[in-house]
Amino acid sequence: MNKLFDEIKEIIRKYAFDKLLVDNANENSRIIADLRINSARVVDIVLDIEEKYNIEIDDKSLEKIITIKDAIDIISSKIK
Amino acid sequence: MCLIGNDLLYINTNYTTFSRKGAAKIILNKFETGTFFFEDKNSILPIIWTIKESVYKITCKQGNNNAFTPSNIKILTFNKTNNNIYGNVNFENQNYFFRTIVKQNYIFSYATTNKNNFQNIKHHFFKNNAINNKSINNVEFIKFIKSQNWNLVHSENGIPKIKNENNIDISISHDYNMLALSYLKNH
Repeated sequence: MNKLFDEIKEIIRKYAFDKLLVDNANENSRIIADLRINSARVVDIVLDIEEKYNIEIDDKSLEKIITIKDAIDIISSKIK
Repeated sequence: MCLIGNDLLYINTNYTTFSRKGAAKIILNKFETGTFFFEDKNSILPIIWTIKESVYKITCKQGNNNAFTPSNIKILTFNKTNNNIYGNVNFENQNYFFRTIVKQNYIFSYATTNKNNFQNIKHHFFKNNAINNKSINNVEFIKFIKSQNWNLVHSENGIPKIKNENNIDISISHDYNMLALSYLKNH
């Protein structure tokens, strides 16, 4: 779980204006609201996650991803 | 009450998001892909993104707590005249109406629940010298909302909104060094 958390943070960090916010993020950090990621960059984050884990994030999954933990849960459920 | 939403996207030539393989799958649904966006998908994606995000902002005001999932927002009509685009959208059986302006440096979309109010929606654009994501701290913008006795707050999902005594619906969007504010002008 920690590995996944670190990997997702690394992906998000690439698209963050304020890298420090991402460095200090926890699992409950909201990707847009707390980490101030531009919503359009969520497209990049989703595509990076899909490529890295070789999964497809469908609409039902995407609408649930508010926090880092939500992303971890979706990835975990798809790579099992 | 008429609700409005807006979205501003600064056009940066280094911005590769919408040209990435797979971006169209996230933004467009099957109907849109098979009909009016069949050709030239990548150039239209930034426009579609702003349309859908402006509608999403309204749905959040109506109680939608889900993350922005553009393919769930369905564009039903899409009309383009020069750099002006208009049409209507459906989300969970409710209709929304949008207009989009494409400028050299930015794309700006706004949406409403009542198309009769389009002519009464007013926009203000603010520009920062600082190039960061904090254009919401724009001095002129802060001065403007103070002059109107409005208060800037953030919703649970982080969308900036303005509270005001007259209960006028207001929408704010910022990207790069630009900020757009939209509201109904006849109140």
